[in-house]
Amino acid sequence: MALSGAGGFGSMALERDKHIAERALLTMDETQLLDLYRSMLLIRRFEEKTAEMYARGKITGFCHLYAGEEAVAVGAISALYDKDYVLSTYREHGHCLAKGASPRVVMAELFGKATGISRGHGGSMHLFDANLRFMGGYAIVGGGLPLAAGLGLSVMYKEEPEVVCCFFGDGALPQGAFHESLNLTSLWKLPVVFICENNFYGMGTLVQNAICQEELYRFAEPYKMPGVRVDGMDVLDVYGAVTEAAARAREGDGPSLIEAVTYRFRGHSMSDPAEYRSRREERIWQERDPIKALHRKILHDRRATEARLDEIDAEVAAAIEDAVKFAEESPEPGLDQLGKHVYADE
Amino acid sequence: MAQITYREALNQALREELERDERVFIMGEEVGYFGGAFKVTDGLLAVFGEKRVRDTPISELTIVGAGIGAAMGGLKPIVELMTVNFGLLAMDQIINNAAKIHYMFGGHAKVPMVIRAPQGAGHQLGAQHSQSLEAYFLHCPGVRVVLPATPSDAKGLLKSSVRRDDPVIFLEHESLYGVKGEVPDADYLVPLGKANVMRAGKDVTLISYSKCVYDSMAAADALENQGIDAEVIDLRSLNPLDIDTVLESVRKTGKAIVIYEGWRTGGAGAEIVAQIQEAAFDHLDAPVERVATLDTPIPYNARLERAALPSPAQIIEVAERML
Repeated sequence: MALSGAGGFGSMALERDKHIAERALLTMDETQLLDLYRSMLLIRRFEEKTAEMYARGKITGFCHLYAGEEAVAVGAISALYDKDYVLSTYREHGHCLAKGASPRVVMAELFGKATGISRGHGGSMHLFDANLRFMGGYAIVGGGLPLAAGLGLSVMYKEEPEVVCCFFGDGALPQGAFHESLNLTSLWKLPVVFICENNFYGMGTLVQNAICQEELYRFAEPYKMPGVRVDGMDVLDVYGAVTEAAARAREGDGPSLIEAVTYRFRGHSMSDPAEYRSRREERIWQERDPIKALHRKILHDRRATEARLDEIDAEVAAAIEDAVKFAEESPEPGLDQLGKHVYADE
Repeated sequence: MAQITYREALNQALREELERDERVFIMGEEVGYFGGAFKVTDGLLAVFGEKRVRDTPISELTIVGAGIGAAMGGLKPIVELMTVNFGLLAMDQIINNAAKIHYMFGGHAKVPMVIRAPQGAGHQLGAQHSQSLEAYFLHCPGVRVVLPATPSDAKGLLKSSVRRDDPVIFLEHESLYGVKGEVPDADYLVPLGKANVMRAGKDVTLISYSKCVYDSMAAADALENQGIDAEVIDLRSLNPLDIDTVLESVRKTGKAIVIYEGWRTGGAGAEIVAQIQEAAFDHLDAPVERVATLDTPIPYNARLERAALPSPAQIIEVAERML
């Protein structure tokens, strides 16, 4: 049993050629790069504020923060079209915001308010927006993969050009649903992009203690689909891989598996002090902060000014304050709402 | 009107709903080329093609989950579980997703799908192939539970179920596929949540669903010879439940027996008993009784199996004791 943790992975050469990421950097204009930056920063500040609100008792229950992993959600979703579907897990705030949800309605949902994106019925783990095609957060590990297969089936059935992007963690690999879903989507050539966010820990369990094949992208091979491993701390590496995978899916060439190597800066949930990780390991990964990395890259390559980036920082800070104010001032759902929405046909 | 079997009635319903709405499709193990393990989907692949009658690998969890996803994506899947026993592999998707998606997403999503599954015992198929699991689905707000007894109800209830916007667990009984009955032609619908008084009577109410309706009718015939006039109610659906028809009958007869093939303890019939005594206690001349399957896994041996399951003899014995 390996006890060394995930510190070694920081220096491991990732198996992917980064030329696509470099090309993406060159072909993107200032607006696109700044959008990536803004989107990641919005998630980071949102999660920080969520932690604060949780500590103050405004948010309760289970709350799983995405800080550190922003490059995966933002890189992937930026590579999709608006009408593409995204399906996530209980660690979904980042995906939901990246898909275009207003921080107001997400924060209001965390506060349990009637104005929340799920009317206060869902909470942190069950956000949903049909118009944005953000098809939900789910609490059961691996529970979303069969749904993604079905969404892919509906797209193919209706002969539409959309793709389905399904996010899940390393903890889902041992679930039967993972294997069944990869088999089915490969067999039927469904337009699904499976993105495994490998942050090395399923709750407190190291990935190598949970799964016999710790190079998770290799699971693509028995399921006869392309599989790549990308640097999940590099938004452009993720963007490049998802662009390719989505194009394949759209052309009818079926599903792909992308393993994004990343790290969650905080514990599994708000109640987890992450004692199974060393502070040293956490520091190593914080030095690979995807937002700081993009900030440095933008300045180094002179794609925008520091003043412009500072402007974005201020805009994001204001958006978060606005979201909290909106959530605070929103009403709770009435008790008459309790029995509503159990059935669509009532 | 035609005299056709329960199986043919279901086939007709599927055919008509596939013709009527292009979003409807069938998915399951052996539904296409094999024609269905119980031949319910026989002939449909030839008419509608592989896109709409889709054979799947053996992956119940993901077949059902994919049905849910497809429903969320705007289609109307009819997922076939080869038997309800195998459906246990799909329980996470049914209970945690299908039943909850509409609610937990604040009404912003819906799962219009039908999960069809044969169930029931009586053919020496052993413990893992002989279960009646409607109680598990009744104990799950968010899914509807439908159990047709007659061929005409099989057609009418299946068509109605396909047209709903909610997940419907449609439980067929394996012993009923060959039963013949009058089935109206064309677009015949039976609403969910409307029980059927199969036989009027004044002395005792026999409340049942699925195959046990036939046991109840046989018992009623035998009881008539003893001067006991039994009313037989076929619930047709457990959710929505037409308790009003039941209560109206119980207020008239003052005596009730609930007959079901699920296990006695915690079975769906126990819920009916509870509701009757809550709402009609003052009208009861005797405690409400149950006739159900013995609380054991179903044995292989034919005689033992028969003894474990509800039968007309057991119903008659209870009715005689009550009156």
